[in-house]
Amino acid sequence: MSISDELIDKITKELARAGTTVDAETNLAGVIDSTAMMELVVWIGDKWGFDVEIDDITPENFGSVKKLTEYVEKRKK
Amino acid sequence: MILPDLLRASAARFPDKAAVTFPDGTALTFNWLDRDSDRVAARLARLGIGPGDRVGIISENDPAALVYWWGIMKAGAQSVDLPAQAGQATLDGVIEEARPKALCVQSKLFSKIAIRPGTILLTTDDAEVSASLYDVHHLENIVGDPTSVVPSLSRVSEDDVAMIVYTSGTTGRPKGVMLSHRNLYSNISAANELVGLTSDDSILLVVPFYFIHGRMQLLTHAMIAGTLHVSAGFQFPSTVLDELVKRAVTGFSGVPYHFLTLMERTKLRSTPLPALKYVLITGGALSPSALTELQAMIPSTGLHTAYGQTEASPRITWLGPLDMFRKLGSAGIVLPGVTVEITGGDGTAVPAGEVGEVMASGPNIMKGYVSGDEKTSGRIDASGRLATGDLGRFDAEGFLHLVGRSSDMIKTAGERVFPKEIEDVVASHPAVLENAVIGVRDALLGEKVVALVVLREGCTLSVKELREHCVKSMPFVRAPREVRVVASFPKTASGKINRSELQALAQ
Repeated sequence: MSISDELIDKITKELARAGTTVDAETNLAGVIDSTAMMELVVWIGDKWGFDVEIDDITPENFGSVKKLTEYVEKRKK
Repeated sequence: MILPDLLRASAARFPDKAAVTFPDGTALTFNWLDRDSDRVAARLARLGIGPGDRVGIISENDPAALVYWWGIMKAGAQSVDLPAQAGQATLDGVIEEARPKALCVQSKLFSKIAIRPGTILLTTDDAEVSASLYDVHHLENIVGDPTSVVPSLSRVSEDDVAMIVYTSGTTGRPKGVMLSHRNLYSNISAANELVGLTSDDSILLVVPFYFIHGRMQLLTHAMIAGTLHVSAGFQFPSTVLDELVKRAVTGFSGVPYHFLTLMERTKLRSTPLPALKYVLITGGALSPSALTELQAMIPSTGLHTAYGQTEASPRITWLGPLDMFRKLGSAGIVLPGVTVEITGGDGTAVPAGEVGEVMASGPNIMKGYVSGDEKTSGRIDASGRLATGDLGRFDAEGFLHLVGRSSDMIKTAGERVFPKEIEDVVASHPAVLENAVIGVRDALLGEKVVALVVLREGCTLSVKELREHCVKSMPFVRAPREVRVVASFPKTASGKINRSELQALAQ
């Protein structure tokens, strides 16, 4: 699976409201709550082997799957 | 005093001042909010909706939903806040119970509820809705109607229900808490006797309007004619800190989770917040060490904590900055006009200083549940006192100290969760034979929801699988964070799961 697909899978199955459709452009703040966002932050760090910095948790990096994919590609080891 | 009077008075004093602002830059002035909600009231009256009728609202924090909310109260009707985060079955159950005569629905949430054909639909935007299926009314059209005749509220009394807020119940079904104009007004005015907010004050709101916390802040700021700034949300904690800086609010309120997140995941310590006069911690207690650390991070800001629950509109006690560190860990003094008694198992008061259940009475205690079982369920006793389910004691100076709960309620990230609602969902997973859900202490969440399960023979269950199963019918925040597979449960003599023993083992 691509990074984008893995993110969509995680978000739709485990984090988002039931019945929510998530694509690359969906505004993530509109479909997951703050505790789910923190879960996503931890999961991404574990999955791709880097520490997500506090300053990185912004709409610019975490606002959508597309932005998140770019962020992970930049940071992963 | 009925609640719409608060908005009318502020609109007369400060017509052009922003009452509420939204992250997209929308600002509703007091005059605008007052005029548009008048027109909503006029439309509702024309539709035959008035005192005694209910109008449901399902929306995220949205300007139109706010106009509708005031308009519903101005029509003399009762607003019913539907928990937008809940699953469809829960929402359908709430609508079935509350039987609203009309529904205000944000178009993005249409798919979350089953709307009966013929329903009066109040839309928050101009999304296409089938006019052949529903009686559709767009806000734009309502507020643009110059022929509006605002209904008289002479038939509405302070004791009439103003709004209904759905909150978690012990049985697993949400409870509709009916709050009157008097309930809410008494509570916001009593709290403000202690805090002393004025029209110079403003606040950043980080919770949904449909929580009692959100409604209470809206009402408080309508009363004082202060501006309420709606936050973009806590998904990005640094953005919330930016909002505190840019909006230069004098106040901020949140649950312990919000404060712990700001403390641990933002640069709160190094960010000057010169305008921030006070913060209010509600919906659970911050630990004494966290309170001390928070004060060190924002040394010029007064810390306040409030204890209460939706059924008490919601506040019962208050601890302000003068006593915060002298009485560290206390829930504070009883709010003016409210009475708190500490009782034993037989309902009579225990001797001063002893621990018992916290019983609250006064003008803030709810009218009852929509389901009508507030007395049979024991939440309201024969003397009209609210049984809070919390255990506490008073010290010699009259400060309340909470020491635990007599119920199994879990508080996670400020959400009130009763095990039964989660257990019913966990039980429906095919691998689960038996389960019990408990709260386990957690540094950030307060308590985390943990599911202990006995599996059917030959089955396995990962936390991922259970989470996927649970989020189909509940918001993520309520779903178990951890699954522990056990061989069996400790049982009582009657064969029920021994929760206290389980709790002790799990911690």
